[in-house]
Amino acid sequence: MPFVSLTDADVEAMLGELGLGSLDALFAHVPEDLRRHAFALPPGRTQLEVERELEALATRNDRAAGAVCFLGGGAYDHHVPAALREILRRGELYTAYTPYQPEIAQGMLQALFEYQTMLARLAGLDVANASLYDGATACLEALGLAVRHTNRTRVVVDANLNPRWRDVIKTGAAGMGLTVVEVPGGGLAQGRDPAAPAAAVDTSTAALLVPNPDFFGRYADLKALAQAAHAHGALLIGAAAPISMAIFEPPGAMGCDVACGEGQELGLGLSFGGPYLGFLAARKELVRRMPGRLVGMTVDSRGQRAFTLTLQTREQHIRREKATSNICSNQSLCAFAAGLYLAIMGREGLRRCAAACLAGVAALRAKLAAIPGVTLFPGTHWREFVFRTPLRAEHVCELLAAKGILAGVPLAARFGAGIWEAGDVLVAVTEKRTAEEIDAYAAALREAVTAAR
Amino acid sequence: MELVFEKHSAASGAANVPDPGPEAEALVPPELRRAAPPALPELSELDVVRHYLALSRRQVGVDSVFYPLGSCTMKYNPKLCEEAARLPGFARLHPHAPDELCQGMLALLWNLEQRLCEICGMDAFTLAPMAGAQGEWTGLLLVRAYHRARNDARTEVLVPDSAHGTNPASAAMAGFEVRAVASNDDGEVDLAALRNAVGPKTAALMLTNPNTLGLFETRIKEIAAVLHQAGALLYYDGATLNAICGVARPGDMGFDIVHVNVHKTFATPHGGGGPGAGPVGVKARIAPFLPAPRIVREGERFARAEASPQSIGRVGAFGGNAGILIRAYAYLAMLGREGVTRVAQHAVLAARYLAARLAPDFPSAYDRPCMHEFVATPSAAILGKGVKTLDIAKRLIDCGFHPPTVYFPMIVHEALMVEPTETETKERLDAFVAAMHVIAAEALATPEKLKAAPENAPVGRVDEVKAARELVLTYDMAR
Repeated sequence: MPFVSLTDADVEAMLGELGLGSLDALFAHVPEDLRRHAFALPPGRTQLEVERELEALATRNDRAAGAVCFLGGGAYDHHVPAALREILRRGELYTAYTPYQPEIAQGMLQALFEYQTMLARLAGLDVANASLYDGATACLEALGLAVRHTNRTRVVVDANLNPRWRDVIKTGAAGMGLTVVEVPGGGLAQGRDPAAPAAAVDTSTAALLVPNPDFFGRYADLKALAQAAHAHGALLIGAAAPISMAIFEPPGAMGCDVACGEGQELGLGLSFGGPYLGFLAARKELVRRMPGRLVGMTVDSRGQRAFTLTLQTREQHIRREKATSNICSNQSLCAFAAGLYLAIMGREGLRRCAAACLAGVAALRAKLAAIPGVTLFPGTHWREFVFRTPLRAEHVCELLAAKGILAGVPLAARFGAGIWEAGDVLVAVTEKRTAEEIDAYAAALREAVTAAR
Repeated sequence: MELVFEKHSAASGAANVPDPGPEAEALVPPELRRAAPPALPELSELDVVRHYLALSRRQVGVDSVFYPLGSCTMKYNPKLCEEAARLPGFARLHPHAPDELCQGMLALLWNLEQRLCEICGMDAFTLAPMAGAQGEWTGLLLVRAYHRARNDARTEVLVPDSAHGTNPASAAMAGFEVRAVASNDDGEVDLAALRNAVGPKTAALMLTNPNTLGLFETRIKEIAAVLHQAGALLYYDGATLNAICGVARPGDMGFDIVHVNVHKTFATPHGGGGPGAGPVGVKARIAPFLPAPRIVREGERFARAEASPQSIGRVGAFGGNAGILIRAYAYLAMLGREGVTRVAQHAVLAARYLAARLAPDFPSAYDRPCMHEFVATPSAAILGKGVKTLDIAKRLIDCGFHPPTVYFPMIVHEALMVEPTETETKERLDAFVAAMHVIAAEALATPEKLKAAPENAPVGRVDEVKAARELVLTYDMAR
């Protein structure tokens, strides 16, 4: 029997010690009619058999997993350094529980402290927590933080935030007592209008949540927005992309009080949508209102530097229904990996990665601009942009998929109605995309669009 | 040990990615350009690897030591499951890839849902929630949506006073008022108190079974009847599913909604505090409210469907922690039907055996047969020496064990909550008993030895009070 360690003799001896005649007798106090004797599950299989089944299942995804990936929309095909994958295999780390006993959890605690430091530095803010579930829930939790800080319940959200993240905010809003006001942040043709949400902020507003870059890859200066929010006593929350912060002005420097978002790009791989990493950084003054685990530096009984979970009085296991969040298990190992990624890449590696995305986007845009029938839209695009063709977007994606290229996210097919049209494709270019791949993309698109004319 | 910021070597991170040249950055308009680069570490790959390996040596997991952490189910995490999640066909799969190209992934997830339905006695499952607490929150939003659809605005959620803190916190986050229900002298829900608390405002009762004391709620069917007669729902917190998987099903007990922690019962690793996954199962009448995406089967084809108009919406950006769910599927595939039952049998046997062997020094808080875990307290003689549960926990570290959960549940004074799981040998269980016996003797003879513990850990006892009083949350706050 797999993964049990007691031998038949052990079982007999232990039952004997307890004065019991059988394993069934252990459940004698469970009412007989609740005990079920036949489960409709397949019989157990050997590791070899299961390994073969899983390899076969994985292979059935190879046309997608092995394709040249220009997909984005909340998850990105960035390079994962080999050293990161190697270290994540350490059993001491990944088989540990939440570090409630700090004396034997200094490894995870120190790594999370280092992650908090690196994330805060990257975001240009004072503190960061030790992870939330993903970018979407990080936005929801950031809004909750603002509500607690301001004692107000109205929040203004730039509608150019990732639509899935907006969905999660809507899911949580009623229960958390939030009134969510969505305001347009600028159409595709007109370009981004970062000032637009400012008009919706009033003295009952807890926070203004603005993506940077927005869902369509466009970067904007948020400084005027910060002034508008602060003039009304509201917080400015920037939903941001960590790698971009290596070269773009980070949320803190633009006047954001809180930065949140998705940390998947920091070495986590794609993994069909999870596990990813919700990050949350903030000004020091907000720390007692923050959700999630926080690691602090302290000393041990011998005066040596040591680390421990801290400010736990914010959390559910102490404060119960009055906690800043219900979060318990979070994405610690993902935060660990993100810190490791930043340590491996370093200042120069991250700068190059961010700049390569920018260059890749510029190169692909230049190629697509030369194709008759393809429309591009204005803006400062970092890693992602939208283009339009006269064809249905999902048809374009199917044609390119047949050539081994995942061309992008067909916006209307995937997200329903929005500021986009039926021909709009959201395309992402990471540092992994080569000049040859970009050429092949443009050639395939030219062929598809030309054939249809 | 040094922090990563205190080490310096010839940085090699730049060699990981191509250099796009200086003209790339010129594409950033001046007003959007970062003024000074972020102060990230600058180290060679070798020094990064040595740093993190040194960190891993200052950490213990289930792979290192016996880890009988109550309510956490720290069982062995099989290595094939790790390998499976890293197969390129899964690990490199983008969540926006078209359904036609990820049939293997969708088939796996669909099959996992079916198996969880069978184990829990539910009609439908969602795999979207990313942790147990998020499963609770999802479940409570389902409770809310179910009542609203019946034009029944119920505002209260009941939780036992022994409940895990996430239960009341999740209920509050879902917009409910929380009301505690007392436990009786047997450690079970007090039925009279429950009847008093249940009324037209009651939306649901959240319950684990076995409860957080490790005791089976023998009157579970009466509890369910009390809730259902009042029009309320019964919610199952799957934290303790390891005790009954393959033996009894929450659905048969009258539970309407369940969440399971795959990082407990289904052997996915805890990752030092996640990622886990918290799938939620429901009876058919609640299925229309499940979050998107739903995984549907049409003949031999699988697809992700948007949710019904009655759905609570989305609870995460994508469909959940797929990388973790792959591991759970692989585990269940190896166990099969006999293996699942064997898990519960051996988990309960190990706990019952430890409870009996420890009883002379550490009597159980309730003199009743436990399930897969139990709550003990130090004997009156030990407590009389001024020794606390915390001191015992720290001394256990010196003996090479991870301590049990301490000070939970809150209704037991000086609680030590022990959950051995099914994956340890009898020799190791006996060694744990022996260590606890030595510690009990030390507590009586040399209590100062316990107060000074741990001696053999990477650091001595950590000053948690100072950490909270003098907040240092980043390296920059320390300087």
